[in-house]
Amino acid sequence: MYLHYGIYLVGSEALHLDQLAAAILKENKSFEVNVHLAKRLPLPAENEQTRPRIDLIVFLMDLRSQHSVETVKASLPYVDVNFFLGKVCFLAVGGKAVKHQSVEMYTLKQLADSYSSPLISAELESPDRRCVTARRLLQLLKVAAGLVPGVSALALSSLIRP
Amino acid sequence: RGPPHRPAEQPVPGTTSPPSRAARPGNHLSPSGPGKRTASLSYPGTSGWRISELITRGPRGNWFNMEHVTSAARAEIKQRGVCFANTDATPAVVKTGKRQTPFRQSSAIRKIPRTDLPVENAEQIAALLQKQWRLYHLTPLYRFSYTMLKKYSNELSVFIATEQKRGVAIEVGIELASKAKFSMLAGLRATENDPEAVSIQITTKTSVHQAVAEKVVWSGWMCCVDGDLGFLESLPVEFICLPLLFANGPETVTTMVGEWLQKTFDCYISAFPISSENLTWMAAMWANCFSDSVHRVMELEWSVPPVQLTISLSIHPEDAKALWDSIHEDEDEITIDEVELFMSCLHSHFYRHFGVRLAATQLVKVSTAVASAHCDGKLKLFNSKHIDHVLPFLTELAFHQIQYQPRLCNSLD
Repeated sequence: MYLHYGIYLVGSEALHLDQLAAAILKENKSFEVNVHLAKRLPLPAENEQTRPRIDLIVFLMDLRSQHSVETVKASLPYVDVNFFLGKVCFLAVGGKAVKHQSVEMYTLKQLADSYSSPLISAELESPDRRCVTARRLLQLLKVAAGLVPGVSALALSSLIRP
Repeated sequence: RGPPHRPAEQPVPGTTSPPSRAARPGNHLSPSGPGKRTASLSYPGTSGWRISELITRGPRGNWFNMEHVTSAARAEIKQRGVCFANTDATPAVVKTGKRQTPFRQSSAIRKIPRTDLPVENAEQIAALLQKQWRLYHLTPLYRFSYTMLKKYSNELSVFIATEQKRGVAIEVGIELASKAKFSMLAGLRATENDPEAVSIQITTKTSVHQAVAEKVVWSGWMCCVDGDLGFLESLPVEFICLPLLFANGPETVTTMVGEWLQKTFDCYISAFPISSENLTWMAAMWANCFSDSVHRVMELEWSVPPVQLTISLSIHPEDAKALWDSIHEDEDEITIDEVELFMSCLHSHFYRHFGVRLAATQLVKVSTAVASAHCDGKLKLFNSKHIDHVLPFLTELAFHQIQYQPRLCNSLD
């Protein structure tokens, strides 16, 4: 049986999710990964039966756009509670340029803490930064899918509890 | 046998229980309803669930299912203060208690300064208006003395003369020597703890029609208005903190003055970009002070980088004031909720009429009758009466940057 592990990237289209997806697929790994993109949740109900397995959900938020944060906040209620035990991760993009920031990092951190999930700051502009972020997400995916012996998603999430 | 059986709590929808921070000791038997006992794992952070149960019931795309979580586990979650989203659309957001995060929250409430005090030094302050100023951060100056202003003037003049000889041009057509002048700028401090503002002017003598006239080539001023008391008092005696530097004139002269200041007073000058969030604060604060004398439209400008588009919206000042009055309650303070509500009203109005979602764009410029600010750090003051509405806020931003986000760039941009 050939297992593909699924990672979902949820965020507005301005964030160029496809570039990050390409970076994830390009990485060397010992397992197969399917990357799915979504602008918001809930996913359309038509493909409910044939939906592949979801191991990690990554919510991307742009510090420069209040709208992306609102979209993610509206999508979070549609996630099953079991995902928050280490299978959800928040990504904060755009923290480098001060002059266009309209959302504070503090608010994003509050949001991530309230859902007990990690918040990663990432820069998706240049290919190397995308590579680094892709590698980090793949590491999280490995733990979330149960591929790392001795470390479970729950153990990882307990490390960031307040 | 185990510890006495505790009744499971029923979670009440819509409320959040206070977080319990007491760490549970290692192995324990958790209560789980009459007759059922489940063993728990030994490391803290879990709440008596069985790990195997969770892994076998791993998510396979069921988005609306909370049956996997047993009622006992739900009670545990509730007790710990974590409440995950229910299946209905309204989420129950949890408050996990105060936690030291590395990110600092900028203040949610800002005071409105009083403007009924008479303006001292009206003529010099009037000279500051109507000019496009470029903002810079200035770290505290070492051994700056108000009695040696004449000496500083001479030194700066000499420095500029040597730079001119080296070939650095000030302005096209200027060959004669230029002179610098330092002077005190009274009337710009809010409290006794603020140091007096200092103004610098660089003039050159030009010969026009056989007469020698002085022309101001570059002017700048440094000030600190209502600075952070704790920081000012913690500074050693030799330092004077004037965190804002305003400059008007050619970039080359700004660089020269900056170099001289950095060398003489061991300070550091860096650029002052204003974030979109702070620009929205300015829009709200300036809509608050409505001036009958100057009739100037309120203009907001947004930029959409991917499409190279700039969206500009002009609002009649009375409409802006009416909208703000309907939101604003407290006479002395402005809260962040009022500011956000103000902006979201403008966003939804724009969306309704033009279909463009401004929340996904970036605010770059705010212009009202009081002042106009650009995100690159450019400022223009229009009204000397309302100067107290602008400068304390900028000083607060400057102090915030010094204390929490020092950014060391290697050039003036």
